[in-house]
Amino acid sequence: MKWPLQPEPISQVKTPFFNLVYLNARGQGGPDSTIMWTSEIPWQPLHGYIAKFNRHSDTLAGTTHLLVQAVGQALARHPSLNCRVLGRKVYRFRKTNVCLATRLPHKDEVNLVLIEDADRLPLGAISKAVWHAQIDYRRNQNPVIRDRDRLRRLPSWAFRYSLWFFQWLEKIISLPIICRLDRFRSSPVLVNDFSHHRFPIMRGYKPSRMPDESKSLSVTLGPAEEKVVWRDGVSVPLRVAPICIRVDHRICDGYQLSQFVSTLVNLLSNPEELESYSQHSTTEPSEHQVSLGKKREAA
Amino acid sequence: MTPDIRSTLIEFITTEAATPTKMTSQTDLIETELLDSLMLMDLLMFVEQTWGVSLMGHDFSPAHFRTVEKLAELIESRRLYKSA
Repeated sequence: MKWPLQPEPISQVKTPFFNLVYLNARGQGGPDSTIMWTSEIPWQPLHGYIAKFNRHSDTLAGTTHLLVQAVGQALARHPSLNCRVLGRKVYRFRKTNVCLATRLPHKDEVNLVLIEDADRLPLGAISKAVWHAQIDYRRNQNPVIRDRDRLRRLPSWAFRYSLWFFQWLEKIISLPIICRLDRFRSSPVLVNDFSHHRFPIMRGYKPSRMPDESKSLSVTLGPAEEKVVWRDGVSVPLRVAPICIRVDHRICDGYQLSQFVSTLVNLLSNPEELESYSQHSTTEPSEHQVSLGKKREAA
Repeated sequence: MTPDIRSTLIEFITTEAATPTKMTSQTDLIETELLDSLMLMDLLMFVEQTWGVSLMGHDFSPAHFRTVEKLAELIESRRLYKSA
């Protein structure tokens, strides 16, 4: 049985004051605690890095896989965002897992792929894991698809009451992972890659909060577009892609978000840093794991 | 048989790509950004439905998807293996 969260919540004393206000506000779900930040990343370094990687790799990698790797590493560097709300308390996740939204072309619906320890995996391993998962889903070989189909066949009242019971239970206790579908609760972040040619230009994207509230963070990459920028006194065309980050104010304030966005944008603008970090972290534990180890030793 | 596979693949990719693109069977699909993860899954489904060839996880190598020519060769070899 796997427990996705650390056993103890983050102490109220250590919680930033305004996060505490949002956590304890009255009303169903409290006030709207969403913060959004939209930034831009230069497209050329990202595309150039992927093209270079694909010249020597045995697995095809794309922007989606690089985005998963960058989000994992940014989360490891900012562990205060690797958290979720349960009731009115905030718990840290044990691992740095990333959930990726993908599309099932044969069913024309969205599906999730969970990448565990995304901060430690090299790009090749992430792309391999995503392709294998997508092919399994495509062929209905993954039991999650069968589980979903079984749930869909339930009478609507049974589906609704099961969901309500689960939501109620989750608000009062920290649950372990109890089934295959449930594994997606072990990640605080949902990554969307909309950087495809076919999609229209994006100025902002705020996905709604998931009903189980496990995803306090979402990162969305939009399609690249040409813009004219002013450099050294001359205007030059530059391809940039928007990146939209939505976070829950109950776990993260504006300043913490600015730090996270800054790290993420920097990693995607200089993707070479990602590979050197993951090589380093396969031998060295992440900041989060170091703090976990210290807590365990102290206990 | 191969030219037919090539032209069918080119037609599929140019139809699916957002920008009107003039491509040949030697066009680099990765460097020109014609192939992304969404397109790849659609392409996979198209190959399965059209030629009955199932591509596995280990087939997702840049060498196989670099050009339409390379992909056509992969489909051909799988069809030969299947019929043998």
